[in-house]
Amino acid sequence: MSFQSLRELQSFVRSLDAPEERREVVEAELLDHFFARIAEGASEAEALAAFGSQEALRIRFEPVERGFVLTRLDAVRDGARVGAAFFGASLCAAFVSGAYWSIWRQVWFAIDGGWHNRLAMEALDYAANFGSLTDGALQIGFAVAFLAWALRSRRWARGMRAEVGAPSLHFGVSSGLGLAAVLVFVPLLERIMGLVHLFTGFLGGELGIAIWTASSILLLLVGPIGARIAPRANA
Amino acid sequence: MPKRPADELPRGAMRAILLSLLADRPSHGYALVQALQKRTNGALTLKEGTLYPALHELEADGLIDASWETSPEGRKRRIYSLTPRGRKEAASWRDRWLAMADLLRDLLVVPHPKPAR
Repeated sequence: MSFQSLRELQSFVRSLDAPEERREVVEAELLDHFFARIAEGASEAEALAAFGSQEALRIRFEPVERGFVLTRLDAVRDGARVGAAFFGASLCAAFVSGAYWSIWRQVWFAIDGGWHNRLAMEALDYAANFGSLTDGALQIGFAVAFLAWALRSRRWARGMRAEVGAPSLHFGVSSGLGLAAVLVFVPLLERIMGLVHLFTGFLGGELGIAIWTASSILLLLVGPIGARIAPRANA
Repeated sequence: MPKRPADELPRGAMRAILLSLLADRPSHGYALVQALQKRTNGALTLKEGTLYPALHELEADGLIDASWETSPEGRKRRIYSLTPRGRKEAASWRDRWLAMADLLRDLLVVPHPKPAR
């Protein structure tokens, strides 16, 4: 049955099973549309009839508007994404770093075993300093890139209401769950780091895990702060 | 006389059409209804009961953004515009539907009968 009066339309919107903020949006839009039709010359009955059946409208609106609420399941899913992103970032950082040091050692042995070249040795010293400085930055850089990709379309960043609290808390919960998921698999990560050592000759497997652990703590601390800047990143 | 196109939006085309209309310029709901009627000479219409849920779904999916402004009559009005992801999606949908149209044209065109000898 279609709407018989404007009051009935407003009452319908108030009865929608949807967040309060979304009911306000729906009401404003339907009213704007209604008055625009009236301004074009339609009668009130015609403008109301254009919305169709109340039941059909409810069936279409409610699932969509409820989708704007962030649930605990969303937080768990985002936590899994964060964990997987951070895990992937650690692997990439370990391989890139391992490959860099492997090449560095090959060059060092070639220069030291063959001929003495002061300039080349100085260049290697600079390369070693550069490598040491960028090891930690590499981990964090990959983590930021992987996280931005994993969470690039998350609705929580668009100012939505969250069952678990404000969007920043949602991000914090997700980050914490992600970290917890990754920590559970530390023994697996140690085996993977062993593989990294095998393929790249990188002797710093323990160093890699230490860097990863420190970065994980950093991630947990910046999680709620990250939610503040995320809306701009998603714009 | 050729049949007039159906006055109901084809199934599955709602998202593609809304994204395509918004690719032209940011609009509010009523303006989208008018734009579609104008571009199709009244052949296709957007029903209000399906329009706004579809717009909200696109917004929830991150394909369009919404902002408030005040209409000339002083009412609150929501203006929708495409996000960068929405632009890519609009282009992708356009290509898909055009490819489908070409396919259907080849399939449904009846070849001219050969003249008798």
